[in-house]
Amino acid sequence: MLKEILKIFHYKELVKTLVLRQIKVKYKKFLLGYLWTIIEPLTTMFVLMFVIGMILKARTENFSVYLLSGLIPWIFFNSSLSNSTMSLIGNASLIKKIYFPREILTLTTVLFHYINFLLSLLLFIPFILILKIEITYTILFLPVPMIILFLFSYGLALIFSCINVYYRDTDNVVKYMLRILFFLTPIFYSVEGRIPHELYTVYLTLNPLAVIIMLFRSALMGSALPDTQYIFITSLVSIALFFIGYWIFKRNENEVVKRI
Amino acid sequence: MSMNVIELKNVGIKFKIARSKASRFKDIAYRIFKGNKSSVEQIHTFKEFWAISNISFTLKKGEALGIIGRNGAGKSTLLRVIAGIYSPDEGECKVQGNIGLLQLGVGFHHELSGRDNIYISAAILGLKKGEIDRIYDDIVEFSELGDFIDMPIKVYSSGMVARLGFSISMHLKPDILLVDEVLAVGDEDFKRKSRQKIGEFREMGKTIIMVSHNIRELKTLCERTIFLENGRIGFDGSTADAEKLYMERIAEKKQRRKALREIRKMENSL
Repeated sequence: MLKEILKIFHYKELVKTLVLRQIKVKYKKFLLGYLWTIIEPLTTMFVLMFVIGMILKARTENFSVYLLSGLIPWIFFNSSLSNSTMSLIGNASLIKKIYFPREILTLTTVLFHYINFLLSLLLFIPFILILKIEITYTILFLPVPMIILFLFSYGLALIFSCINVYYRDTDNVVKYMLRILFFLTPIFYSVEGRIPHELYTVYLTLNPLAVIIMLFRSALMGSALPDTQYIFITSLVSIALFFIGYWIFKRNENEVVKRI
Repeated sequence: MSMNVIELKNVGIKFKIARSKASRFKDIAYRIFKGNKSSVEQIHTFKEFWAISNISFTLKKGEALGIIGRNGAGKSTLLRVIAGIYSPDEGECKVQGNIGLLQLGVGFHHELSGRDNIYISAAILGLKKGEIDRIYDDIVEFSELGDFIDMPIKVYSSGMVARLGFSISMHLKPDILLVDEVLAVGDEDFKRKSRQKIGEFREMGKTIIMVSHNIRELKTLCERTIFLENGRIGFDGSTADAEKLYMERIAEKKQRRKALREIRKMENSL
């Protein structure tokens, strides 16, 4: 299986072209072009600052950066999943034209949003400078949640894009689940002190995204790391999801091509 | 002695046709309601349909093969198996060399310009950017698109899309060219040019498989033709013999239809 996964490197030229195509299609007709990758997290941040910070008065220290460090990974997860679900059906004409490993279509959708995600990370720089947040050695751990987040999202994207060919309702279900998950993930609240102690273990074990966001926060803001056991579980779940997603995808590939 | 570049052995492709989900759901609800749970599993079964079956033939390097058959006979499915898009559910298909599948307007992104689509199509076929740059001008020239090349595909006429597709596939220089009914569109001048280009391909010793309804067209290019009937090989031999058989079948069908019409007429007058 590993050999098959690595086969994708023969197709790196194609992956590059397809990602560039998505960027072109997406931004060609947009007046503000790339600014949109920044506008989305910023506007959501301001809305949440207003609702959570001012109306509910539940703000924490450096609330803007706190929100951003949850929102930016969330927006990547949200948009890559909701868009990659349609990645196979949306490219039916390509699939019927020529053979290539079809997971490339899902991969390029996730990669496209990952590039947006990397660009929006730059948004932290002005905030860190203005709010004079101290950068500590913890920033060196930033690649860890970034890798885990990618594997987690790609694994799920593979599964959903595949199921969506059989049942088109998948797209709706995914979008609905994402809306629920937004509230179940510590984007505008913190886990410590907010999640009841009895639920703590269940919450962090069942929601890898919570741990991933906590890791982001400790890397960027120097807040406390989640317990090692949760980091371990989350990494394991993400890697397993990636392999399971790949396995499911490959097993269904032939049938998917015929049904499209 | 030239070797076989394409070898198909008992190839079959099976499609599963799902019943409509609403009716399945109703069935399940109904049977559960009636307490007949044992038959719930059966509802999920799919209807199977063999688009092609028992297809065996070999093709040597440099041969030109025509495929003819009525709508739904499995011609395009067969081409897709050879192109590697469908993997056989039964039997095996061995192909040596890279393949160009020529289909009408398939695989283009309609929001993007002809230029972008050339680069994407070529990248899908495994070309590097430098290689594409080298053939880019030839593609544009052959397609006769002129300034349209920088406009999105959605403003193209169907003939223009076909020309672009044909032009891209021809300039990528595949070892095996699969042509699926592309010569049916475009103006006479372009058709002539395309035919000439395919002829050049033949002379270069490339292998060609061509699907068409138009047997006269096959006759000028292919000495051998396979006649597909309901997903099976009905005839495999010289194009002249295939033509006879095909014409016979068409005549038979016409006669049957005529007979049916007359019976209806009689029924009505009674």
